[in-house]
Amino acid sequence: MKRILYALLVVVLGTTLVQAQTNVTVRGYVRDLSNGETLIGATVYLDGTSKGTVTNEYGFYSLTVAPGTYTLVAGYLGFEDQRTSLDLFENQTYDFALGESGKLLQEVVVTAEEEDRNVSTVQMSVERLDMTTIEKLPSLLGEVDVLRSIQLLPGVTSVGEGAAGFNVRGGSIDQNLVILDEAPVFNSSHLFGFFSVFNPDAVKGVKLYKGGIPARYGGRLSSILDVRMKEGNNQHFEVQGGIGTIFSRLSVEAPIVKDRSSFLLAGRRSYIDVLAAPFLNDDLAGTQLNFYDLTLKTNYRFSDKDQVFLSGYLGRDVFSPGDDAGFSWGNATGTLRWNHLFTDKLFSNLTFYYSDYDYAIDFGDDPDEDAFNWDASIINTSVKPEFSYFISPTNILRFGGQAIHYRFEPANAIAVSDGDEIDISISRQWALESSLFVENEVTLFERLKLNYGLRVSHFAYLGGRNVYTFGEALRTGLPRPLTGVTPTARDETIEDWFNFEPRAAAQYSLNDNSSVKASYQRTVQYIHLLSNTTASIPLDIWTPSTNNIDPQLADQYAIGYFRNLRDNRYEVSVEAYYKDFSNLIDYIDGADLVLNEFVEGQVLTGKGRAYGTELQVKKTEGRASGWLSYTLARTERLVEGINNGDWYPTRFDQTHNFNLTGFYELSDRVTLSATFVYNTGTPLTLANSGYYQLGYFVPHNAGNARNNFRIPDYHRLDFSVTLDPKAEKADRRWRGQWIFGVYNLYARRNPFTVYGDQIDGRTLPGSVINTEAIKLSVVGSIIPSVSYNFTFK
Amino acid sequence: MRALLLTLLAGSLWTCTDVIELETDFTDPQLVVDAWLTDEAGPQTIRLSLSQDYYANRLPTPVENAEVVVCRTAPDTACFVFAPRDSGRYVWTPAPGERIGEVGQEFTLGIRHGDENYVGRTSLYRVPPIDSISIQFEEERLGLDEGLYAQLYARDFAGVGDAYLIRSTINDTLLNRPSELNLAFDATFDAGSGTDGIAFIFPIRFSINKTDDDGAFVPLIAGDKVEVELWSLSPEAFYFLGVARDQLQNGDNGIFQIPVANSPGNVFNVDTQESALGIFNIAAVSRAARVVE
Repeated sequence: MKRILYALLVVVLGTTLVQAQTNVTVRGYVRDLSNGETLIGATVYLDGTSKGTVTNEYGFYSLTVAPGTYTLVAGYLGFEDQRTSLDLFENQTYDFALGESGKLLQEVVVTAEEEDRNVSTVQMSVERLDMTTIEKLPSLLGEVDVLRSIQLLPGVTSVGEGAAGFNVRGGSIDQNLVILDEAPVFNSSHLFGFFSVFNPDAVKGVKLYKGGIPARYGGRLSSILDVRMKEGNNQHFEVQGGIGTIFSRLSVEAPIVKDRSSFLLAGRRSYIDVLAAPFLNDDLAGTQLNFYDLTLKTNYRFSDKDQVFLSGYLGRDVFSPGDDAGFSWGNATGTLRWNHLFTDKLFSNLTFYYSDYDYAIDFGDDPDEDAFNWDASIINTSVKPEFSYFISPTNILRFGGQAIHYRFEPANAIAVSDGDEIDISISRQWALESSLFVENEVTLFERLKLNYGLRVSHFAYLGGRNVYTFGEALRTGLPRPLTGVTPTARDETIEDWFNFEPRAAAQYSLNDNSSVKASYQRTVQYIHLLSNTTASIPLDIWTPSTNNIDPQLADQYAIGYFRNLRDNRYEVSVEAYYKDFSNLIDYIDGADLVLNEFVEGQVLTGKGRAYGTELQVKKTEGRASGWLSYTLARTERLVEGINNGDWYPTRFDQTHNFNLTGFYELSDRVTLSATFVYNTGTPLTLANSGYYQLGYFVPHNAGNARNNFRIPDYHRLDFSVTLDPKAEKADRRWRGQWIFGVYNLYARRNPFTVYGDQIDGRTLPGSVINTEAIKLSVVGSIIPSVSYNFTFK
Repeated sequence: MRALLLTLLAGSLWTCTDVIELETDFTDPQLVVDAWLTDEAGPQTIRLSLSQDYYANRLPTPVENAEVVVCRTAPDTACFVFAPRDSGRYVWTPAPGERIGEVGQEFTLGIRHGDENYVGRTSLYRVPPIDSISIQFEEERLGLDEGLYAQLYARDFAGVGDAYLIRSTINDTLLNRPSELNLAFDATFDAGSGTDGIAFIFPIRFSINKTDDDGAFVPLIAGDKVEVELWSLSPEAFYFLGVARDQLQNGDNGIFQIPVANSPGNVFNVDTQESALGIFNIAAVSRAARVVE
């Protein structure tokens, strides 16, 4: 395997090295002048040409050109361009520091070359949101939220309000790789799905890959959500904070050594319980209901060739109604990264990360008499070297690899009943995932850009526990019976898989402001979330691929047309995709996934398909800006034992999904924002009949159809007003900002689900048991909010 | 376990509900066999009826003119004819001192209705004695008023797979709310949890108490009479009731509802091998009663 990759590398490198020899390279970083933060995705180009490049995830660029004198221009949306004239006869370093454009300057017409990324790059099916946009969006209870914001983008849906996670192009929620500074976050929500775990004060921006995923990313089928943390202000001390309805936030950032090193420390905590505490009597005084997160990042630049970053995240939800029960869950991640420049053209990043998602539950005030204690975790550690070789402005070669060690602890559990203690733990699991990738981005014939690559992945399910084999189910839909138990030695490979994941994307410029793009990707996913509730619960467990559960596979084909209008002030895109899934996971009727050692016997596998069209129109500047997105889509599954073996729509299938987001700058001080959301109701299964049994009325789904009923459509309008300080006060050290918001402005009771329920509680034996249909709404009224944010410099 | 946790989670959200009108696509009623027998003396009843539209809100259509027989097939052979009565009931009245069988014995149910023949099989599973019903004072805590509450003390047998139905009657009212359908599998809620041979865990011991419309437990007062029955269940009967319990209580799970699932029956059409709805189970029964002082 290694040999094939090596050969591939040599071929690609060999062809391109030759042509690059006589040229010179300029390289450096593009930063924000005010705080030293690197700018990801800033453009650096040669004035008067279309030759240029884009800064990478670390704000680094490298541009190789024929010797000569050039004017270099660096640009980034919301910042003023910076131009510099350079005599490039030998390799050199040049760092740009861009100043934010004043409000009025935003009206200035910008040049075509830099703002047309939407059209000119090979990458399609990608969505970027920077924090300035996310912060302006109206939000639930005024809490700025990264994950709820991306649900306003085309192709991204959710099963309903308050549900954890999101669905991308027909993928289930575990098919998104959510990474915070490279480290995966397994549960990205506080309070189930209401708030995301990312502190807006610590986030620089997010990028969502829905398709055309480059070979350097892998591990999940449907999307990559890359969340990058700020590095911390390396120019001066700065404190930011806010008081909201749910959270209070505080962050501190400052240089440690100016221009060389800085740190950021940001924390948030909910305070419902603090406010409620005085009103609780003695027995409830111990009640805890809170969630918090803490983010730390620091960096040190040893030289212009070496820089290290250390980031850490700790978040937790704690729910404890008194002393005799407790429930908590949370993520902890740590990332150490080292950027090293081997040559002016060869940039490398080495990442080590640790990620732990865990939860704990305990009941019982007398641990010797009656108690229940359960904790579970998924821990993974990884090393990930990556290299970018900036061969020429028209050619970037990336290669690298990754190894991830997983440790799953589904349950360390003890039950004590009437003084008897019994260990009901579930066996741990271990696995090793390894991958290598090579990816080449090249421009051919001026108009054609390609990014093609290959990812080779390997997964080993490791021993150290009993391995179970299961026979055929007695009848379809019943649990498969256990037929064998085999003990295995630690680190022995029980089963392993090799997969090739080819990726390819092409962009063809029709003219200066329009292009067509196409992409293909194969993705493989080796770890799976076991969940059959409508909204995922924090207790859901992950499992590796095992001798009973194969890795999931998906192929996605996408084409798109991209056009910018009126000097790039409007961006228009239309994309169509088709996705084929295999080895998807579903469950038998009545599956019990929690605390079940033999859960593998309840898993069914099947196929899936998803297809759709996404339209997006964006207005990126001016007093009025915003975007409109519309998705027409279908996502279906085919699983033997479900829906009589016919295709059925998934629980999160939405035919139409429409979002309109608008911002209007009324004055220097006042910004109005609004979002309108409309989507087709999701499908679900309802019992159509019932029968009397043992004095109960048992619901029954005659015909066994799955998801054959659609809940009513969803629509909602949100609105907010942001009040910034007066212009003459803007230079003061203390800047305060008020945000008044209204969520669900016309108080629609949007349905989350519909279900049948018994009306009568207790009934006399032999009498009629009455039933009714109930519509459940998560948010049933208008929710106003006020929050105050401040910055102190 | 899951049911309890989901309810706990869902209860902490600020949801609201509305009753709506729904039409179903239901057209074909199916045979329902309600054959929950016990090994106790006294008449044993099997009910035959038809399934109905979920929102019909009426008593079931009885199935009359069927022939119903239960035979003990091992270790010996003996058949018991269930005579037709009104409302789709079929009753076998044992002679004084006679019982249908004993723990460990095997049984077959045969039903003939028109041209259709149905057969179900089961064994009589063991049930542990109820050691005691204890009445204890509980202090106030979240979701529980202070007062006297009953607990059912019984110990699961050693050996995996013992399943029981717990039926509680307080002052002659059988507790039969959907949330009061209480089951135990090896002393906990569900199969696969790894417990065995221990006393029923606390939430199951406590489940014999009465609940109010909001699902909160109601304290007992002096003079209240608490009667508890423990029925043994076959694996098929437990699986049936386990799925039924999760479905009947699913509404309480809010946004964490599980998919609609059908309880698998164990009585089959001889020709088509298709399952009728419902269960044939013969339970061994333990009983205990206590009056609150």
